Amino acid sequence: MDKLASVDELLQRIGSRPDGNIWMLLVANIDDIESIVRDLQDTIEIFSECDTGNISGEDGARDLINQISKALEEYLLLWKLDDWDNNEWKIFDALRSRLDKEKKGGLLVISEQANSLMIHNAPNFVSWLGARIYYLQKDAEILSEEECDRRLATLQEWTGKTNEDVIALAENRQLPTDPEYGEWLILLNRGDLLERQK
Amino acid sequence: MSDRLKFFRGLMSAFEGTSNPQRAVERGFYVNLPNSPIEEITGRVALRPSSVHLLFGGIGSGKTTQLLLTQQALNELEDIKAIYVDVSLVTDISDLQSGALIAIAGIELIKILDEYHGGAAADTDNIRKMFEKVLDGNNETVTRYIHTSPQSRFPTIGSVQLGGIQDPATQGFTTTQKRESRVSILQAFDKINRSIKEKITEKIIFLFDSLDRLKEPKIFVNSALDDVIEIRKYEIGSILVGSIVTPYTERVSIAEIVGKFDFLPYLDVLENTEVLHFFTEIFKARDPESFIASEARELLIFNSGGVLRDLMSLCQTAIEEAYMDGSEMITEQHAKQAILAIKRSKIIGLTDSSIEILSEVMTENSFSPRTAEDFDLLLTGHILEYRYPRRRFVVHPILVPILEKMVAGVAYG
Repeated sequence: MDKLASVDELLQRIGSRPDGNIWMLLVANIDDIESIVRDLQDTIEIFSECDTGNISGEDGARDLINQISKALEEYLLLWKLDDWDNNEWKIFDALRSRLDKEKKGGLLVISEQANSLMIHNAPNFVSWLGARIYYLQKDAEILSEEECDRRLATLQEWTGKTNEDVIALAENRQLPTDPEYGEWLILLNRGDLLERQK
Repeated sequence: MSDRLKFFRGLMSAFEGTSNPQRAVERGFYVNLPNSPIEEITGRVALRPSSVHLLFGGIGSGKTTQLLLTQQALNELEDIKAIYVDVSLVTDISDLQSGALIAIAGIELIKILDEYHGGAAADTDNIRKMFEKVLDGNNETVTRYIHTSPQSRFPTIGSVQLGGIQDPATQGFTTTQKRESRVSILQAFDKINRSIKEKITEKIIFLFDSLDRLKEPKIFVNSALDDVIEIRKYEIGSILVGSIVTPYTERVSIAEIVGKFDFLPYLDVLENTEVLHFFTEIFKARDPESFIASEARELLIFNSGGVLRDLMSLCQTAIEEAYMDGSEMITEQHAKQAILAIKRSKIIGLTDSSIEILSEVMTENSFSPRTAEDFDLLLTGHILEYRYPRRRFVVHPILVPILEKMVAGVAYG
């Protein structure tokens, strides 16, 4: 399980992925999951570069798999799997092949407890995840002002662009699709501009 | 998109280990697996097409790839038609019903008939529906119809299903659609098989994949194996993929029913010299310009434990780490980060007794799986079974350093 500094880092990792049946898992505090999913919904399409669907697992594994089969979106965000017992994870694991829609895969957002149940009861799916299990610490989201400035300086050096250049590109819908540009806008508190890139 | 992102995505895509393996074969990434039993199975099927063969193996050992290559090899023989089916895509294998594989085979034969007729043949429609019902769980369904009379205080609605509104002015009746019996499933299959025999001369072989994910090994024997033995009576052969645990827990039943079975083991990176050559060829095919440094490759190979999917996953993660790091090459450091990430996910949730079992396997170099926990550790790949050049069990190498520390910690108090 890889510790993440922020959701932005997760988004960057999503953005670096090639097309294919690639699944990732984000483990978060159960009380934070809803707000994380809400935040991700707004930005994930920019990084996954495709339509993203949001699917709840509250009615069990079979229902979730049926919803996935019917979903038209290329990238899927799965959540509300935290009440699943051993059996639901076993069903999910048995039906793993139905997750491969020959599109882009997706992201599961679950609690630590659910992660432990998944690892014990869904070995086939866990084998697909490999190292792509990320752990988000509650306070990791908040970068200090100094950390923020340091990251912005790195991005400016890497691209040769200023903060104003990037905002102007975003306003004119000319922002390159590299995930770093998405992160840049978020660091500048201009996440609203990401919506315009769709 | 920048050239750098494009390049990294391309390299990551070459190490994709979770998509349909057919794509990797088509992209020229396939390298012949050393000591694969598939060549032998293909030879035996070619000699006796109406036979049943079982292939067991661990998660991520490459069973699906081998099955697809077998299908390809068999279809190159002019008198054989090999049909691959991922069973989990056509029925709920978490609750596999007896007769399901017969129904799947039946539907595939109907598809051949449809192709022959240039469309769906009317006389197969009821049989197709029957097979579909079996694949849909083969449940008894009760439907209540309510005919409303003109005096009814409710509007006329024709009929409603069970649970509809009860009204004294209505007259209702109930229909019950019973479970399809095994006899009726076989009768239907026999009919379809006779039609097929009139149309094609090739011997049919089914390759049933995903049966390694059944809930219990017993279901593999009592449902899946039982079905293909029945299908064999119609001179149709099968190859079934099963879990690594099944030959341990169901050895006696399997030996009684089919005698011999085959095993696709993990690759012994320490003792099998052929394996090192195999992995070198994999990197040559997928990273011909050696962006992954040789020290990094060695680390990734060793820490994969010879589990093909783990190797692909480690490589992808190391490439991702290099991308995030701003590097142009995948170095030893990136490989170490990837190893650490997988190590964490393998450690989560290990109980004290699991750690004790793993420590024993590591220090005593022996393992005789007997308990449910032993089988779980085999299934999850915490313990790996090698067969070449000799049969042995080891703890997944990614876990060894941490276990050694634990053992040393206990020894020194």
